[in-house]
Amino acid sequence: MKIAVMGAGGVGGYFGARLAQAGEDVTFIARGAHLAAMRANGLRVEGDTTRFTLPRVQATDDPAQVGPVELVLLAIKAYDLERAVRQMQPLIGPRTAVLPLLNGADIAERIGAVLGEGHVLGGVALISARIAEPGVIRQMGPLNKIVFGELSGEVTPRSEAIRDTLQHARIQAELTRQIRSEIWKKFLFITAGGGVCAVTGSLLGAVLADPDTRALYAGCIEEVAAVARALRVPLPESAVADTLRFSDAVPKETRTSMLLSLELGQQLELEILNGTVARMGRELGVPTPINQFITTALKLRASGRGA
Amino acid sequence: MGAGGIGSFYGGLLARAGADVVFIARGPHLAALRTHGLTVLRDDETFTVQPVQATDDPASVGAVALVVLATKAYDLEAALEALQPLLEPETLVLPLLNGVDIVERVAARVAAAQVLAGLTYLPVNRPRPGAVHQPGPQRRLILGEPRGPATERCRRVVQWLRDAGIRAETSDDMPAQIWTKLMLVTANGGVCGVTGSPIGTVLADPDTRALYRDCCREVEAVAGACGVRLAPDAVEATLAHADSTPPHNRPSMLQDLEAGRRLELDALHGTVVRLGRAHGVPVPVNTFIYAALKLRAAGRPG
Repeated sequence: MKIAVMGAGGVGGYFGARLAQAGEDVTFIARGAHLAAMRANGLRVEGDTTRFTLPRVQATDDPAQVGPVELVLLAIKAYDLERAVRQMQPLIGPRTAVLPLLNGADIAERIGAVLGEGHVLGGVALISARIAEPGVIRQMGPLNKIVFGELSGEVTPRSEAIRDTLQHARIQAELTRQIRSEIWKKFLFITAGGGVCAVTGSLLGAVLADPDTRALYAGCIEEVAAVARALRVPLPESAVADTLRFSDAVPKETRTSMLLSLELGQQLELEILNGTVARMGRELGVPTPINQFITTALKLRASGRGA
Repeated sequence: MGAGGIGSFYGGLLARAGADVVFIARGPHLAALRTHGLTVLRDDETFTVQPVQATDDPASVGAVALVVLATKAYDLEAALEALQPLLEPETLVLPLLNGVDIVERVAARVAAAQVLAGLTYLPVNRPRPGAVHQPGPQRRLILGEPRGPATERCRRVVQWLRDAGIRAETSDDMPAQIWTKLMLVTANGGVCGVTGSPIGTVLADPDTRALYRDCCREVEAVAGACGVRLAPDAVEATLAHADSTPPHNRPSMLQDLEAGRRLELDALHGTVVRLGRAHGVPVPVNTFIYAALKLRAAGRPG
């Protein structure tokens, strides 16, 4: 399958490397030192369960050189999603499928608004990975999973072909008829975990152990669930309790990525997490005061230092 | 008592004017006061008072006419315990701490008739032990009786402070003054603390400015529920006051947060949340600020 991986960071780099290793025709769209390293020395994956080096990979910063592909794995950070999607235009042919693996609740809809709905599937990446150094992807823990599906809920020939290609590359791929629910279930966790840990400057375990910050965390999840229900996303009755239970099971010293970004003075994923909840809440008439507070409290630092 | 920034500044002016002032201090600041005296830095003048009387042991001082209490609110009970040797029946105690229950807390250890109510808007910081920096114009110190109009003894203390160059005045309604000050420090400290930004940045952005204003309104509503009526324009006056401070100003709560020091969260937002709940006044902004800062309120260990 001809595949472009847009954004070769931890998530895109890892899954793209697995696909390339399995013999798929993969091109990485990347920038800067990471691109230069991939061109010079290929791509190395250092995982907890697997380690391998691809001495030669196809990598460029110019989608026009790649031309239309069958599948785009979109794994950029969502700071400026619409702009990134417009840059992807040369990759898109009539039959191109775009599988977004970004954090966010309405990513597929936003991409569809630019490229046309028919190109876009819904996806969730369940993996912990980052660029350890240019040309090297470090993957942590046992998870290397992609849950995806058509937004319509149908199982289509293209979604089955993508599943088979991913599984052939030994990626834990799960094709679901409920991708919107899966996206929102993850969104409940990352919005509360990202927003509350960042605004309290604290590790997840400390947030969940204190009654006041736990109430803030639970309230944040409840608001996200209320927005999801207003959008008629099917969520189980127990979604809030499930998210709290899942959070309690995560290692206590977990530093969520928004907290880490804040501490490092990097750009925050605030707009696609708590900012999106607050915006949707306003549009739908669902009260989302906690997500609004978090958005307001973090917005002055959302672009990072010296950006 | 509590010769931090506020205590050192006022004490320095009084000592320069020839008053018999003893600084009760601790640690490196005390050591610096004893060896190098006290240096006061202002925009238009710098002066050093040397020698100054400074000790960590109130018993060595004996009874005094006036105790100016300028500790942090969380240190008040320890300070009240320590200051007992300074008291005789004629001694007046003037607390300048943030918080709406300070007079009651002082009166638990000092005869109520000896306790005045006071506050100050003075911004100060401590660039190094033995020195205090007071930027901008000298903001007001306000004192009066805890309840009811100012009396002769209040005017006497004010005159004595003024003679030393301190911008002091009396008020006939200290509860309203104390709540108005609480409004300013709660909004300043809370919104700058939670956004990690100086006051000018907070006030320039429409969203964080709205958060600031909502925080003020909640304090106004809780004051009303507690039977304290603020001036009708108290919220706008607080915003105007904030707008007139230098934009790069970092309120002490933000400074403490960044330095990993203990926060006055309980005396400020904790009190607003507690009283709001008790009186059924919704205080979502203060509840949020309280929760957001709570895990860092004890400061970093070590």
